[in-house]
Amino acid sequence: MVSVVIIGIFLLLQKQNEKVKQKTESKIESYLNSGFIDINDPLHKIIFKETLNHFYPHNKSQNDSLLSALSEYRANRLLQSIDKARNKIGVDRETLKKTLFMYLKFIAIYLIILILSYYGVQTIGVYRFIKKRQNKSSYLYLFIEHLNHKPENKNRTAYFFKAIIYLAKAIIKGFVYLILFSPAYVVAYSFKTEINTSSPLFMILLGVISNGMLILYSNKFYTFLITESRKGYIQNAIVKNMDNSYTFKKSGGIRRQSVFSFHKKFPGHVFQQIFSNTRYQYLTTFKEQASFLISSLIIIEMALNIQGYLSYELLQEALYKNYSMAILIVLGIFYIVKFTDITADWMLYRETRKYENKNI
Amino acid sequence: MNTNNYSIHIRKEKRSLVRIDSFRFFSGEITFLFGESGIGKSLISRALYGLLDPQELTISINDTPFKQYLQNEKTKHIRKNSFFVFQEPSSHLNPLETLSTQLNEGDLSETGGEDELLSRLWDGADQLKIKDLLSIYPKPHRPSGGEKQRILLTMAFKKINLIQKKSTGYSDTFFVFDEPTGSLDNHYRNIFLDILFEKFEHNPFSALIITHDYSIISEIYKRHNNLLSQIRFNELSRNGDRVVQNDFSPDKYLNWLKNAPKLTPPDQNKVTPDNPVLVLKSGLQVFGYKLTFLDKNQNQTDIKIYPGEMVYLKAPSGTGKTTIAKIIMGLIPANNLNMEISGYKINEKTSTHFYKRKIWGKASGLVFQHADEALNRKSTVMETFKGLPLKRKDRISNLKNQFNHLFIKESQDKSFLKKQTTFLSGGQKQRLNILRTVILNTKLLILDEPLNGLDFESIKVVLQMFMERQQAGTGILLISHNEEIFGKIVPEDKIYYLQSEIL
Amino acid sequence: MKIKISEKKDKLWLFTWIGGILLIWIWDMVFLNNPALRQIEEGFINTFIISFMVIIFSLFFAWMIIIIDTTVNNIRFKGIKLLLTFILNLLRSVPQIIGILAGYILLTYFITGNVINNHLLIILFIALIISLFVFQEIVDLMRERIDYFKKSDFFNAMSVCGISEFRIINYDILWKNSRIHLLNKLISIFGIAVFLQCSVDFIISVGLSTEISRVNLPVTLGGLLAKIDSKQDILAIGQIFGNPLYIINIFVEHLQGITIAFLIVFTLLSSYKISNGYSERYRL
Repeated sequence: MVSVVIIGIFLLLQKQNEKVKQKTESKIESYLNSGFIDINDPLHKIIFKETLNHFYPHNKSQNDSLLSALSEYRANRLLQSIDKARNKIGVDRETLKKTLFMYLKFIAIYLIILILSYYGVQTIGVYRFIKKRQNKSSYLYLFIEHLNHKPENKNRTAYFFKAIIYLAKAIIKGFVYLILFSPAYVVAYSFKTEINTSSPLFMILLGVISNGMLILYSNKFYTFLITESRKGYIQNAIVKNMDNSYTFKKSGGIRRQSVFSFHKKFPGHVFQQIFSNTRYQYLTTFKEQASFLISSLIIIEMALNIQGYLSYELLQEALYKNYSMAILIVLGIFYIVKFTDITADWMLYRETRKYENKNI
Repeated sequence: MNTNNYSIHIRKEKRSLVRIDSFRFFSGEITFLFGESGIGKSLISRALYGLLDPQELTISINDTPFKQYLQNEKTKHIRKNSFFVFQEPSSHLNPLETLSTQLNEGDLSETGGEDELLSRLWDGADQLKIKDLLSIYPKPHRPSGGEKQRILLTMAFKKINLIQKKSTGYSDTFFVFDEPTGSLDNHYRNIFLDILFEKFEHNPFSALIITHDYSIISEIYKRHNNLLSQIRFNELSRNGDRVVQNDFSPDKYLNWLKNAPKLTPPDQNKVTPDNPVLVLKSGLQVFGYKLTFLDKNQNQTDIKIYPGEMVYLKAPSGTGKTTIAKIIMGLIPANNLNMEISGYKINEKTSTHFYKRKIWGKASGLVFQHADEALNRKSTVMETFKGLPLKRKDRISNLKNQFNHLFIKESQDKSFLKKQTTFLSGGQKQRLNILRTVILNTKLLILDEPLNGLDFESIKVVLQMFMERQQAGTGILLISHNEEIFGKIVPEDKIYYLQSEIL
Repeated sequence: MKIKISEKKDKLWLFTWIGGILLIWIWDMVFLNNPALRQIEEGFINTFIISFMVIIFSLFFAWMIIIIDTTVNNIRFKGIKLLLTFILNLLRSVPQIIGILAGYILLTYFITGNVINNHLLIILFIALIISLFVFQEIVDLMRERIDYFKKSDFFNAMSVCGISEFRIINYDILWKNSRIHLLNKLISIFGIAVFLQCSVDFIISVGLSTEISRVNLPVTLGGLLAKIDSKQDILAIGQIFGNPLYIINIFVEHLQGITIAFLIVFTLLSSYKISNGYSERYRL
């Protein structure tokens, strides 16, 4: 149904495009035949614009449109010649094979990022929660507090040294935040001179850290942890005198190793109850995170402008008006979204069945 | 015996939530604490037990900051040697752990004995049934609210067993039971009291029992009067911006009960008992159960309410009393439904649209049991009445009269009407909840646990109002676990018993 | 004198955002050439207006859907409900970025076909396209809030008093009890709108030749970032790793790209922090 609608829209647009093209060409026909203007030459272009503005000073916007119509015509002619060279309108076996490879690469990168971000989101969320329970303040807050408590004459060097340390930590943290919030293309271009940004490995790294995904969803996980920690059953676990210390310890607290492990377990600790309930809740937003990731990955592939990646190919197909191929790619992406949705729903269903006593 | 005396002040940002200059509990005794809901009983006990979040609230106990209080050796001892049974059992059980796991965590893993406790709290049910129950994860409808409550009570009794085994002595114990019988009917409530007093007799401990159930007093006087010297009845009440703790004289309640007002039929000149305002036939089916009504002789019958009659529907907890109220109002679909409200014939096919047009707020009104949920807490007292299908005339005169009647003290304060509902006390909320429906002047009035959250004085005012409505010709259906009070007021032939059987 | 950090983090970050933008504006007035600064100003204002309009449109669409939901439920006309569900699911199925790109293509058709030729209309159209792919987040929130109140006794208790469903949902639930939730969502929608808009503009400017598709499209931060000068400025950041002292040049010589990137990233960070602080303050 979805594909039917998308194909319909594109066919309509294509038809509309033909009409517009004919109309514009008739408007600019006389200028196209003028031998004295070479629109490819920037100097000619500027002189032509100024001449138009001189003769039609009240129609500046129309003059601009005329110029852009001429430019568009030139570009289209260029494209047509490229199209001929590519000879790839429609879907042939070779293109399909090439696109399938890109599709599989897209899925592989997507899955790796999904797993890494699943781990990252939980680890950052848990770490933040534990730090909060340990009453650790932010570095900026510590820096300001430090400034507010100036020492006597003694220990001035130590005081300034400590202040610098706090400030440096706050700046580094701020810098990390800026990276985590940067759109992928900002990060990629910042590192382009140092790193090969077209490698799949960099794509994965970018997918995990950029576009705000990691920070947004780890924050969501953290908020879930906070909400769960306020619930009644946690109070009940506390009055049962379960371990409720959040200092990093090998026994009688939280094991640092457990926080960073993939399978996080905190046996005998109140936090185990908070964590397992949060993870269960998080399953409901996993779908949302996955679809965010797909959008994010598309942005990365398109914005980095590197050949051999599915979304870039989609953009190129749209550019060369090979809509049937573009539609096919959109459908492929749509199926990934749906497959993820179904998998997430199934995982949630399986868990829910268990906890709703339906397996008994 | 030692008296533990505390001054407690709890604030949220700049707003004072509770301030009490002298809160007392007595080591080696059992204190029953009454008072309208929202006055701060739970908050005070949670603060003393060290369960509040100092990052969220500003708390001082005996003028020391809460963080310091938590580090106190005595506080640590109390937390080690005690237990806190929370109200609302549903939210206090972990939905992702089986009941069996939850009964054996933390300190509770150090002692067994739950089989015997469970068997008693389930009134001698066989072990297989209990085992089956323990293997499940707590979900909203299974186990029932009453069962969840009994699981929490089992935890507390296990902890008492542990303390008694260690013979720690009672000085550092502080067992808090916050509304422990809120989801239990009188039968299970009495079992709980039996076990509690038995254990207390064996080796005393300090306990604070927060409750609204004044009929507990009668039970104690009837069956546990040998312990009266070690039992106290206290009440919290408001005095300006402070809360004060006073002794509550059991005689106050017992004497009132003895002379409780009896219902009289309405004046025949004013009310003509023509057609019934409600006819509800036995045998309706809901959630896989068949519900039937029994009369005082335990014979199956149908519920019939005529104008000016007050009918009381009794049932053990978890049988479906609230479900019946919701079925009557068309909020829960039921099969084999055969009903008549003010002449409108209703069955399972009747649409919600019909209820909207003819029943809701017109032929019938329902007061929900939890005022906190039923009211819009972001609205002011005055706004609560906006949107009701009232005529202008009613809005001004009737509302004013009824309001002054239910809010005697508050009506002196003009700013009260502009106060946001969320800042009202629990008792004020419940009275507002009642008033919102009573003001509609419907022919049928259904009251689901109308005494919830009320202190003794408010109970008397509210009962008075119901009786006036009955006298004025309203047909009232009462649904309540407060059997002692309503059993006294409502004549025996107007009391029905609800029975449910699995289909 | 003691420095204090306000505990109202949402307000603190709102002022930090405004302060940060003012600071960089003053810096640019000193070190950046005038035409580039004018373009950045225009880009920022356009981006801000579009994102703000996205909020307005999204809220409008979402509330309309809820009103239709309620009306359709009442008249029991299942056809409309099915159609509505299908349209919403269709919009949800398309990844946001692809949907918005398709919308931009449609816009270029409209511009070349002279259907839309007014600057303001173009801005509104862009906001409309983006809101079509983000407004369902508000619908979800509204439905979640309504379901929450329907599950508790709140909705039923009011209904049986004869209060109309329309009033309970729109006034009592959404207005009285969900205003702060909605405001918080709108703040995050603002961030999403900035992000999507900048990304699409960047993609269009980089991926599709500027001559072809940027048919009189308004200047936005994303489009400006894709310009060759800006890209070179961003590329220069990489040089800091080899030569840390180069950082000084970054803030003086490569200001155009750095300013645009900073405006985008700082706005995203600030909207996140404001929304977070707000939900923390109101314990959402």
